[in-house]
Amino acid sequence: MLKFTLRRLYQTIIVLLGVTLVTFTMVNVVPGDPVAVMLQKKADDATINRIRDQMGLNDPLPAQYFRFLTNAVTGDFGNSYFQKKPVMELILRAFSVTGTLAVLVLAFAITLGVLMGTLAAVFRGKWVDRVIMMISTLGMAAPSFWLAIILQLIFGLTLKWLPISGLRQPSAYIMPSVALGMIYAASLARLTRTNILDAMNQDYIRTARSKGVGEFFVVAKHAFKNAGIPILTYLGTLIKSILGGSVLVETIFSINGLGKLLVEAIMKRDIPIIQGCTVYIAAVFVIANLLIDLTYGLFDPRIRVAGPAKR
Amino acid sequence: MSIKANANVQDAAYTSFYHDAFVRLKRDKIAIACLVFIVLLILVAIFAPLIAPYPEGFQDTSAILAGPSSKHWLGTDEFGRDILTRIIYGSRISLSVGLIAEAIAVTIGVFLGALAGYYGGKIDAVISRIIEIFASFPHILFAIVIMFVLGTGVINVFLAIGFVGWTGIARIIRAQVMQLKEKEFVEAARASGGSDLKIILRHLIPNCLSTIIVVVTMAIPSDIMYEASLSFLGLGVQPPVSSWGEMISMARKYLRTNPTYSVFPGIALVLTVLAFNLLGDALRDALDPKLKNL
Amino acid sequence: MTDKQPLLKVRDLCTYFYTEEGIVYALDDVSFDVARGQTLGIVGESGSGKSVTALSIMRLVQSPPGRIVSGTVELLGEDILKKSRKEMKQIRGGKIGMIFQEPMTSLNPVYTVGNQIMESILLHSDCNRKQAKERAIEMLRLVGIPLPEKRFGEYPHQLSGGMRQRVMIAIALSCNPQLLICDEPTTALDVTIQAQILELINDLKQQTGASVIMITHDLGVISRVADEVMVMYAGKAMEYGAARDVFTQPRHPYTAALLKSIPNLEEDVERLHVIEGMVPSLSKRPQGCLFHPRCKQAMTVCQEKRPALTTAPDGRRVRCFLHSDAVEKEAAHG
Repeated sequence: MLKFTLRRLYQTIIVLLGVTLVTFTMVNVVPGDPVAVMLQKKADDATINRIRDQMGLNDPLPAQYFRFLTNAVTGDFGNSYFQKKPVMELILRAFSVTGTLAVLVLAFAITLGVLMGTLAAVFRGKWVDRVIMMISTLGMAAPSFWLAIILQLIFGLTLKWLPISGLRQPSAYIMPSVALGMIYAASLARLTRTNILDAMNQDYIRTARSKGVGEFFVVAKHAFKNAGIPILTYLGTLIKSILGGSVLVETIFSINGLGKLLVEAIMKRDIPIIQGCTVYIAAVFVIANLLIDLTYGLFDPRIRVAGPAKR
Repeated sequence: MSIKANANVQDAAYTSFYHDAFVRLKRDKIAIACLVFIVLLILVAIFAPLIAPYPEGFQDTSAILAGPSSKHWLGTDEFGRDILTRIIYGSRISLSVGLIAEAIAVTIGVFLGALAGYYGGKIDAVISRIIEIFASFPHILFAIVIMFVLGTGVINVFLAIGFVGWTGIARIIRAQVMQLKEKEFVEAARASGGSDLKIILRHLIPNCLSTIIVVVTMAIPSDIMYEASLSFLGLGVQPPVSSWGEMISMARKYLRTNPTYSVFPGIALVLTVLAFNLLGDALRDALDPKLKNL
Repeated sequence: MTDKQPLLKVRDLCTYFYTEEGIVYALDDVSFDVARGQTLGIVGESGSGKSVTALSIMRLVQSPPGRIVSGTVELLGEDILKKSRKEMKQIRGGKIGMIFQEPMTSLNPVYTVGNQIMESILLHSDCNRKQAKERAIEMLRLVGIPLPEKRFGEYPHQLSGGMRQRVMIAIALSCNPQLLICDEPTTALDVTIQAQILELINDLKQQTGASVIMITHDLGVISRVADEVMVMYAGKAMEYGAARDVFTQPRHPYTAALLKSIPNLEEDVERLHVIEGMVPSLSKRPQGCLFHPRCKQAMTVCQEKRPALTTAPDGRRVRCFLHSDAVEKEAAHG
């Protein structure tokens, strides 16, 4: 177990380094001078060059990358070109919003998806199963940004139950969470169904029934924990997709989160923010994935006891 | 000589395998319906100028943001353009993204996946890390950053989405090639002095074909969604070219005046994605049920 | 009178599977008794319906597509096919314990051995968790698992196949069932372990006074443990009688063929006898006797009519036209 942890840790660091390198390379091959953009072409060449010198933009790229990396390790992504604030400060403020949204989306998707998937599995072939599968198939085809607009149209403009944008009241979280979470709830429902049905076909389920275990506990205790392993694996991808998807939903609902920060930075060509946001989001995913890998043991003793953890 | 015979046996096995899969697929009514829908959509995209009720850029100044009517079945947009016409032309973008971007993704993914799986060891470790690095970025976010780098435009959308989507298929092909390279026919090809490249191209990749078909069919709807998302954010296809995502983005500003404006391009998007998703499911069940958690 | 009442009395049991290819007659009109403290062996090739018999008694036949169509299964005079779901839960694991073929997959990989034994105890008794744990450890000791306190906290993957099957036995016997159904309990195990497990089952049967149904395709296993034996073929009982009689003087050609196919170390036979042909598809059964396509002694009547299970004066039952007039023959000889 310790060996596994160390190896995963090492891999994680390599991947994080790669993430910074890829991001840095990408934003630095963009044609156009960021300083010229920043000064909005009001300055002459000499001034621009002086500022470039100050910002270290005239240094060779490897040196710039090294500086970016060493600063990034300490949580310093430089300053925004336009907002004149440290990028990290902007990111953290935005992430508190995006993070809340992501947690809500995750909660919504997992609760609904796992519940529906389990129900569908238990009532396999019956109408409950068919209805759930039909809805989840539709849910997987509806893009979040369109769903968001339809929700706005129905619950915001027509019924006037929920606010159309902003996050001034708790109820304002409902529409963004549902719009973004629906597709994940749908895919989780399918994943859960498949894996519970898979588990239900195993011999140990027959053993449990032969012991006189009721059908509820056969599913809830014996099948569920086994089906949980692939669901846990999916959780990492889910977190990544939610962070990505929040870009769209935040734009639609005017939520000042990471996604909106990034899109606005791209429109304004605010490179430090673009760089910082990208690395930050990827790092969140990579670290979440590491944590998930380390929690497998809770579900699967075959992994846990593989190391010298117990005994 | 014996290799050749072996290859023929393999071929026979392929044909009957694909034949069986096709028979299974034919029995699936939903899959056939989806296939018909997709074929119709392709025809619509190709013959758009013949089918669309109006020319692509035509502006009916007498009907701006009008709801559905006999003149404009699905209404008009803020310039008086017919929404049905724009949806028909928009299908061209969606389908070509599915085709071209996925072709890019498959080329990169299959190539790197096969290399990693075939050689193993250090090469595998390096490629695996590269896959992991690129898979660490949320797809849509990565596509946004690439669009920022490349600039907007249709071709760049293809490149961005293609470059974002290769990691998944690379992983699957890597795992499959790893298993396949232990099989007798690969051993035989190697023993008779076939070069590595030849073995990969002639023996390993053709054996992964069913998996590639399934993965591609399942990836196309995501690609279509990414295009729509990019265009929705204003980072993808630029007006006046019609794209469903761009239409929904524009419609958002006129939710109050013409609510159906936003609904119809969305329905087109949902139906297309749905058809590919269901076809992908059916293909997976017929060709490669192991991929059930995809 | 009550003493003579068998523990389990199965009459005319039919279990069919309704599949797309047609109805599969997995179990067709099967009747047998299990007396108290006795072992009934059910033997047959795979697909003969022996496992379905076990699952039908437990009412664990997968439904759909399976369904118990008719018949009675009386446990101490009460038909368990008429019991409610709740009563059935009490019977499973409580009055009837069951062991399965695959010790590797029959235990849930994500729970400890102890947890899985305790589960059964907690379901069928008023024990609290502490008592249940003590009982579980006691059971582990009883089935001959060394260091039971330690094993209690271990997961199935940490145990060998034989140990897992011992755990299965511990689970099945933890609530003192009156009947233990063993479905191919030793098939997946090494020969030496097989002997140990059979011995264990026999010992525990003696100790607890439970009756046993031993289901297997291995006549060697049956001959070691069974008092009575039922030979099944294609969902029907072909021969039924005291184990010693059936083994020494098989009357049905199928039983005889099965006996010949046992590898015998003492006799130096050149080649193993194999029953030619295959068990018929249970959805497309042949006309006449189900065994006649493979039977060396088949007569014309065998192709036309289905023989009935007839009882000879000595109490043995055979489903074969060679013996349907056995009654008269016996009478003539006698």
